Amino acid sequence: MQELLEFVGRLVARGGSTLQRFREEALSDLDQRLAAVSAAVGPEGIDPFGMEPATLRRIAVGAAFLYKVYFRCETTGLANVPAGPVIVVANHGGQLPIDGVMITTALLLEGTPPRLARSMVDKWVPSLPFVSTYLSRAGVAVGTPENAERLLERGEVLLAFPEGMDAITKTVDEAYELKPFHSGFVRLALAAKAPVVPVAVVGAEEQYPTLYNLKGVGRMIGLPSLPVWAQMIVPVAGLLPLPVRYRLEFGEPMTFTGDPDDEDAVVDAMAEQVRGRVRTMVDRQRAARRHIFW
Amino acid sequence: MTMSAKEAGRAFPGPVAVSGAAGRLGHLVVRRLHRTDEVLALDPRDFAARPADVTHHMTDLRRRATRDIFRRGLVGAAVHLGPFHSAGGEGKEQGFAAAALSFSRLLEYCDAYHVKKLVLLSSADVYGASATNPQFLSEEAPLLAADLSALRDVDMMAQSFFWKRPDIETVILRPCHIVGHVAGAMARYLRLAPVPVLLGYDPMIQLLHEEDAVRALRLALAPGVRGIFNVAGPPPMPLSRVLERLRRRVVRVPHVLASPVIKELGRIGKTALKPAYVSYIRYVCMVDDSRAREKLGYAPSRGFDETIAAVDLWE
Repeated sequence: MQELLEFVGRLVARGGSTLQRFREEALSDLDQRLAAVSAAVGPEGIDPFGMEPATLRRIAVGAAFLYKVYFRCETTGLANVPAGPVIVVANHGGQLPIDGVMITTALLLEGTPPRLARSMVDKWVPSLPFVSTYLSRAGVAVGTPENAERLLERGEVLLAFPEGMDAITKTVDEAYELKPFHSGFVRLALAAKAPVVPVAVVGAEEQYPTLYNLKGVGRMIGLPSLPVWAQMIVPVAGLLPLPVRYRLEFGEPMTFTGDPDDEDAVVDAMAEQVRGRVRTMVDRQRAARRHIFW
Repeated sequence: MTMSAKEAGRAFPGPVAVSGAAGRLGHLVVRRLHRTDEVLALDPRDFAARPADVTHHMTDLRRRATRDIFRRGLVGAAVHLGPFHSAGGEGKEQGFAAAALSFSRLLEYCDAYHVKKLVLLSSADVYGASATNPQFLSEEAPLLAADLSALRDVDMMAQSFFWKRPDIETVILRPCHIVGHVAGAMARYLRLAPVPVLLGYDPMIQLLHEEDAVRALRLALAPGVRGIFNVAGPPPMPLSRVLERLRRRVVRVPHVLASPVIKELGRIGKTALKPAYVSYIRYVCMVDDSRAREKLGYAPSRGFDETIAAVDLWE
């Protein structure tokens, strides 16, 4: 707690100059980068999945703030992302999918060339008002195999968290434990002949240090999960994630060949290889960080 | 136009019977086909505006008189415009039942009296709009339009006809929302004033210019063509963008209220729209038309602007 207060004090003191620097550095070439990822958008300024550069820009400014200032993300290995269709696969955690936002922002702000990672959301998300529309304008698609195939066909970057929902709701005692990978992404990679780029995310697990998950109660009121996290004791501000430092490492692309409809045992083994890579990188990044906040 | 010139540019070698010819879309289909083909118009409604060389049989598909036309061997190909595109067809459940019955008769005549080709103008609505839909549905997607069962039934009857009479070239076209002079559900919705939209929802939609629907239909008549084809127009757009372009006044309604309100309005006869259609302005129901582009040589000839402007062609 002491550490946290000190940190917040320092952050406030530096706030002004940081914001100034953020405006100068992060936003200076944002428009060029957005133009580059929007090249395939039709004459009407909207792509077939509903992505609209104008809305994407508004979201990107907020995401860039989180990336550069709030979470001070340290990213390595972006040069490993090849041109053309690619599936980016990462470990998942932290109650809210901020890890996905950080990976997407890294690829947009620091990728050479910039890429727009397409995330896929659960099939119930389109039934949410506002959220569904906003996500669609930001280039997010519904997680059906058809959509994934079509996006890869278009040469896009697909972002996948093969651990699924189980992983994001983890409590502190399970932090950075990689759950088994669902192998759907391998089948997609095989079918589209797309390389897989493993990514390690370190930091997410500490943004909402969750002591307990009242899943049973959550289910009764129609929520998939009901986490109880440490900063909850602070009213209102406790809803914010802790300003941990994120570390992202993009690994070397992995190429798989074979029949996309092969038996589970074969495909699961490939997924396990990717999981092994992600685990190695996660361990390396955890060892390399000095502190969860800086 | 002389008969020989007609023969050269024909869509189909033989007289083409068009059922539902006196409807709004029927007018366009007949006007397009009669330029190259011999056309028989089948419709119990008056069809005074037909071209001079088109024979109009003012009869219901379920009547003996229609059977006689087929029995005499006058029909080479049958085009069925289906219950989807007419204002009356959707209003009542009885209308739906009648539509399915009529179509079953047509199948019976095709089966018995040497018709070589059958083209059904179905609709992409049969896939159903739902949260779990992929952005673009292929022809293999299941037909899940839960509350539009009669639309599905007619489509499925045509599908079973594939195996019943594999020698007859059966074609099912599933166009996205047709706009123009037509009275389809989306076309009528877009003409409402003000247009009710669902608060917080803005699905991507596909519109098809009526002339492009007619073009696809004519391509489907080509000898050798059989199967199911989705038909789409220019690239999709969010519903809000379409309404902006049409300069419509919009009322935002919470989606939980939409169905009950439409139901009530329907009960007092203020609207012919069904509550089931609410899902089409909430979720995507868009089709992948690559098969039609590849196998039929179809491509829409009208761009965004012209297609959207067509919404207001209705007088």
